[in-house]
Amino acid sequence: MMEFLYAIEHSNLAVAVKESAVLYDIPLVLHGLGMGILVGLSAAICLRILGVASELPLAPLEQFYPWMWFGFWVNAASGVTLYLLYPTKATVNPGFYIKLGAIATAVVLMRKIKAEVFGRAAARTSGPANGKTLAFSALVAWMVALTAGRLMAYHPSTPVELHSAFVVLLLSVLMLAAYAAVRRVRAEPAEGTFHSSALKKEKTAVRN
Amino acid sequence: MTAFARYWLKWPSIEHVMSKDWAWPTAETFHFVGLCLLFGIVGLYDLRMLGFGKGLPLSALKRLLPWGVFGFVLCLVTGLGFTLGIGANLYGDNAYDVIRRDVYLQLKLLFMAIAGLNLLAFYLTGTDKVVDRLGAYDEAPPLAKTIAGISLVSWTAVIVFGRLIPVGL
Repeated sequence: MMEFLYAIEHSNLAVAVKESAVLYDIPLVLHGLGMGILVGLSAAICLRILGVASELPLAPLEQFYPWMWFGFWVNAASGVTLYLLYPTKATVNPGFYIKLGAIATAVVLMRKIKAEVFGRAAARTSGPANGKTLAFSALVAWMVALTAGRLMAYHPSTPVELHSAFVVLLLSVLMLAAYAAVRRVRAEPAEGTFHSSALKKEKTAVRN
Repeated sequence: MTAFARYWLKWPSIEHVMSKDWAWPTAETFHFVGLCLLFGIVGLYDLRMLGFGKGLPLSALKRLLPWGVFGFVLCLVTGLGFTLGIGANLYGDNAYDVIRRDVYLQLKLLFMAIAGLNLLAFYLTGTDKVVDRLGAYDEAPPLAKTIAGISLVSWTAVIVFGRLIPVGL
C-alpha cells in the first residue's frame, strides 16, 4: 500500500500543486476557515445549551446548522486534498486517526443535539440534563480534534507530541476549574452582605 | 531607529518559554481554540445583524460575546508568544525583521486594526444601543449591517493571512 501512496504523493499533479505557491495555499487556508466556521458555530450552540446567555431562545439557533455543515464540507474537501498531497505522511501518523475519530464523534454529537435538544423528540424524551452532557461532550471532542490536528504536524517527534498534549490537557483543565470557581463565587454572595440577605428574601418569596 | 525597534521587540523571557519543546505546539493549539471562539461567536452576532438567524434578539445574543472576547485574548496572548518569541523558532531572528519582510503578517495586523476600528465605530456611533433595542425578528439598520459586514470580512482576512504567515517568512 505504501508504494501506492508514494506514487500518489509523487505524481505529477501532486508535485505541481506542492511546488505552486498559490495552489498549495488554497486548501490550507480553506481548512482553517472551515474549522473556524464549523467549530466556532458548534461552540456557540454548545455554550448556549450549557447555560451561557440563558435568555437567548434556543430554537432559532438551529438555523445555523446548515452554516456548520457548509464548514464541514469545506474541510472534508480541503482535508482530502491535503491528505492526497502527503498520503504517506498522514497514513502512518496516529494523530491523524485521533483527529478523524474526534471529528466523527463531534459530528455525531452535534446531530444528536439537533435531534434531541432542538427536535420535537425533545418534548418527549430528554430533559435539559441530557442536552448539557451532549453539549459538553461535543466541546471536548472538538478540543481533541483541534489538538490532534495541530500536533499531527510534529510527528514523528513523539516527545514533542506527548508533552504538548499533556500541557494542553493541563491548561484546559486549569482554565475550566478557574471558570467553575469564579462562577461559584459569583453565584453565592458572601454572608452578611446586602446581596446575601436580598437573595434570602427572594428565596423565601419563591418558596411561599 | 531600527536598532531601537529590534531591541524592544526581542523578549528573551518569552523566547525562553517558547523554546521549551511543548510550548510552540501548545500555543498554536490554543491560538486555534481562540480563533474558533472569536470567529464563531462574533461571527454569529454579525450574521444576526446582517439578518440571518431571525428569532434571536441581539440583546440576549450579546451575552455570548464575552466568550468571543476570551477567544480573542487567547489569540492575543499566544500571538504575542509567536511574535515576541520568534527567536525560539527561527534562531536569531527578530520580530522587527519578520514584520518587515512577511507581507502576510503585515496584512493580518492591518485587518486586525481594521476590525478594532470597526468595533470602536460600533460603540462610538451608538449602534450597539440601537441593535440592543431590536426585537427578535427585527432588521438591523444599514449602518449596523455595514459594521457587521466589515467585521466578518476583517476577521476572515485575519484567518486567511494568518494561515499564510509561514509562507512569507
